[in-house]
Amino acid sequence: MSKKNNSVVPHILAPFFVAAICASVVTVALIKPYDKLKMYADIAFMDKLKTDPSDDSGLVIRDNTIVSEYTGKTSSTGEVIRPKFGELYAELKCDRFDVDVPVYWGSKPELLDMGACQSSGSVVIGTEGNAVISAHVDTFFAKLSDLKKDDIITINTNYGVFTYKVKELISFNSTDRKYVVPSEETKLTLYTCKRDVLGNTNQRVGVVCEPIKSEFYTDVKEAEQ
Amino acid sequence: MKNAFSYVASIFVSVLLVFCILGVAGAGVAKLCANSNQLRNIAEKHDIDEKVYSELERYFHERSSATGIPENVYMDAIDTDYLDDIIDQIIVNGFQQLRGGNATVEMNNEELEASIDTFFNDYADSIGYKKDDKFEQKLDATKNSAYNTIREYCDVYKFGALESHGVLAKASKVYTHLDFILVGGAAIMLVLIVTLLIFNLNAPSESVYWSGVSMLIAGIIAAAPCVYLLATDYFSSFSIKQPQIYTAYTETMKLGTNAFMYTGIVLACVGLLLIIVYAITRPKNAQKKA
Repeated sequence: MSKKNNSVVPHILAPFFVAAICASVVTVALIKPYDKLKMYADIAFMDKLKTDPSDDSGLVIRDNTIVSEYTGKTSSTGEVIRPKFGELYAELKCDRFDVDVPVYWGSKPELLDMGACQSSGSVVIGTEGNAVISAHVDTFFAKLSDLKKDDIITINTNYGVFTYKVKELISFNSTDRKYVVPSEETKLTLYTCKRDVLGNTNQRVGVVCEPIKSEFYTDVKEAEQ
Repeated sequence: MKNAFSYVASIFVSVLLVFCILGVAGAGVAKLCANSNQLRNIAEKHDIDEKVYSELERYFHERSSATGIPENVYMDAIDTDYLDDIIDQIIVNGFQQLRGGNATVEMNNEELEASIDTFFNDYADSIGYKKDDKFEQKLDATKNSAYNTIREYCDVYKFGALESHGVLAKASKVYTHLDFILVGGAAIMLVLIVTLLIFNLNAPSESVYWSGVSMLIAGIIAAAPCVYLLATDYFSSFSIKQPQIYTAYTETMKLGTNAFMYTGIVLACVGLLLIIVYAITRPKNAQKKA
């Protein structure tokens, strides 16, 4: 009788062991995909219909098609095309990001809903000085804190493609202007809010990147086609 | 000792079998629900074309004071059949992109173009405005803006946004391999069941028990979250402002969740059945051995 009971107990317990192991693995494994899915959903549903130049708010959002496959000649020097406020003028790519990040010129809540924003007080990509780009941590810059030193970031514009390498990981208070002010040194500064389970945070995290390659399109008309 | 080893080994293989079953079930449900026919049926069943029409009417009405173009210039030239065709094309194209292809939406804009042309020309004539290049530019810009707005409103599943942010390209890597996941998963399931047989050579009926346990647990893991999502009406809490997109997404998610839930319930029932079969047949085996 006891032998029979001994063989029944393991069979009763087995489903619970299997369930416990599987539930733990599933819970841990789904954390990252859940974050990713939430990010994709936020991006998709925040991509609102664009306003028209005659919209009353005063913000004119211009969506351009950014060249990503230019086959013509390039040069290490050239002219930039200065964007207008609210204009989509670049696309930021990095292997560690899940999405290609559109970059708008100027910072406004409506623009931050649609992509990353470059401070209009900073320099246009491709010119000397500090180019400062920020985005929301729950959408386009969700993976910014995953960047490591020497990671490569590429920025495509309609006048050239510019490659940067991460030089420094930074963390600063929102009131500290040290990393976002103009500089003589040519660099790219990317930042976003530090994730905080309690909600809003005053801390910012990001990276400072140094330029390693500038390729200006010599035939801008071909690029725009 | 040998029994303890086969017990632990069987638990390990059962856990692997649970994930294999979940993978095959997930791929099967994705293949069944995530296709253009299903999404088009949802759009038709929930009159999404009418919702798009209402939203467009509201949009052009709100814009009319700023543009000076009454909404009837646009709305009298389009109807729900026209919108339905665009919605269908966008859905089919979206899935073509998921399969690695490319396609364009062809909009039959003759009536709309004629309506805008007529309005602009009549207006220009009424105020004696010279129809120069600037006039033509303004006319073209208005037409293109109208076509783009209509197309965006008809993109109820936001394929455009997903494609422009590089998400479709990433999703296509999984979508194009669904068949492989199904076949490969089924093959791995077979291998795992054979492994269970090997670990329980002394009592082959044990493999029926362990397979049943795996199916039962897989079924519960699949069904339980779906039951929760449907019972709490989770998808209705999405804060999407446009009714046509809200309806399209919530109904599609409900369809997928229902399908996965029923799959889980079937798996759990089959698993329970196998365990019961083992429990009924087992005592006879023990007596025979005695």
